[in-house]
Amino acid sequence: MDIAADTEFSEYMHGRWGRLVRLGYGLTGDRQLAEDLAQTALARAYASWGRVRRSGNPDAYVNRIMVNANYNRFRKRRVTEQLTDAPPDLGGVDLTGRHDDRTALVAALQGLPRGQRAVIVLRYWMDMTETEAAETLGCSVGNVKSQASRALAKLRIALAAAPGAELPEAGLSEAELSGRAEMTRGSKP
Amino acid sequence: MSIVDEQHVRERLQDMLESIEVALPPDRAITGRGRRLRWQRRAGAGAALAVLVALGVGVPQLSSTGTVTPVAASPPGGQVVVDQPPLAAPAVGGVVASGSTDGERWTIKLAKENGSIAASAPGVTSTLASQAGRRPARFSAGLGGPHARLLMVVGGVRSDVTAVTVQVAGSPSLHLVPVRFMGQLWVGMVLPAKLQVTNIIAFSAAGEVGHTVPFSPDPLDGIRTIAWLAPGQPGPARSNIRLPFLVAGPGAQSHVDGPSVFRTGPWGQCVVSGEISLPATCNDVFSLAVPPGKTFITINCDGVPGDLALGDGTYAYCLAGAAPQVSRVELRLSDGAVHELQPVAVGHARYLSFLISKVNIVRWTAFDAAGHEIAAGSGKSL
Repeated sequence: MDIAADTEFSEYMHGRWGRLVRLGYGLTGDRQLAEDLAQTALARAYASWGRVRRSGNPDAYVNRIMVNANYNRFRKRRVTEQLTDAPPDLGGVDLTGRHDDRTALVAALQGLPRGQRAVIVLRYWMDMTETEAAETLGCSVGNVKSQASRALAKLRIALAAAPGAELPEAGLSEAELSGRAEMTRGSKP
Repeated sequence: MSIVDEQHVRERLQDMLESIEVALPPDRAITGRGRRLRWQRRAGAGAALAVLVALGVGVPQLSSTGTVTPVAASPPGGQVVVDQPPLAAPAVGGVVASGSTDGERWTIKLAKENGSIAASAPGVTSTLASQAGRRPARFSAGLGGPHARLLMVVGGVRSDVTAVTVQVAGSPSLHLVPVRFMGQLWVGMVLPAKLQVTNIIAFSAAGEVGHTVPFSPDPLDGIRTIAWLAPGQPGPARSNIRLPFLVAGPGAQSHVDGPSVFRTGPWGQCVVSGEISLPATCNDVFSLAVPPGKTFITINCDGVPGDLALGDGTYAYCLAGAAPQVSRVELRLSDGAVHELQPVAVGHARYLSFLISKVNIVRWTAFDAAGHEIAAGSGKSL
């Protein structure tokens, strides 16, 4: 890679690192895994930087690597994700003030299946449109809609059960309640 | 806290994720990994080209973009010591292996989990593959520890296996003694992930029973063991060949990266599709062999669990082996679409690959070079 491309990549890396680590944290709930995912995504982007920048949308490329690397973490390495009663590592999160809300949200996100978690993070944190999220995730727009809807329902239930929670406005159906039980049992790789 | 609408979720996520303090990126680590990946790709493509040219194999769609680049020497290995228990000793507390890596002690502990068996070592947990069956051993590998620097390898071994030797580039071989857990024999080890496992040999009381060469397409992805070879058998030559890649079905997305690359070698056969969209799919080198005179095409569709389609859709990743006289295959799918694929020659056989989503193969038809139909079958017979 020539010096100009190296410089360009370095600028890109420094500009996106924080956002990628946060995306990784949203996907995994673990600070170290988040940094590993971000490193992996950027390393792969660097390896193909010429092609990535020619694509005109390096962010889309890197986001897809992040999401796929997270899936592959489960599939290739047969990693087992275990849900515990204790909230996951919050890394550098400032635990003052809204501690309860944040830990409850982290725990609730971790209770979602990986795909639903990814939809929530891409749609509601990265502000992607449904089409962009579908492109990133390699699925249909309909899938994104349905997964987002299910994920929101599960989050609503899980967070309603968190300590100090207010009751959600939406009523809970039997299906939602059984979904909650399923969610708290854990997700399989 | 409750969540009542999308805006609420947006605000909560913003609050949570934006509060994470992030240090500067590890520039050198990232660019170093990127360079290694690039070198590996070039070396792989160049080596495959060299092998195929040397063999005179006619490969219509052979990648010819690579150049031969000297493969970097293996990094010096960390010091790995594996404890030697008595053969078939019961695993106390589920501990099937112990030792040290660069002076750090580790143990690998097995436990039943949701109907399967999970292995755990410091910083890494893996759900184990099914039992060895007729193979000498079946391994599962997981990366873990700080920055995924450790590779845990655990394998269930066949009842007649008394020892397993693991050969590592640039380091002395490791000797593993099986211990018993839940009625089966197991071996395990924890290695620095940078080490390259080059061969794993299983022995019985009568001598070597077989060996397997791990497949490791990406230094960041650990290892996979697929095919077992007879003692002394070198296995197929290493080659990389691009296959025509079809993505079909109403649930499929056109952006799925392709074509897939067929990587043959002593490990067996693996197809790595695109660069980032799908993990490698591997098959034992013999599983797609077309029985002479019996059939014209053998298709193995491996369902990919709903991850890629987020639970609602399912992709099936299909690899097919065809008899040498098959020059074109027509696939009729359950959505009414008809697709054609031209198998690519790999050695003496022909292969093709495709990814289908939310659709079944209703019928396949094989044609010879003259365009004559030479075989056909239904999806069920595949």
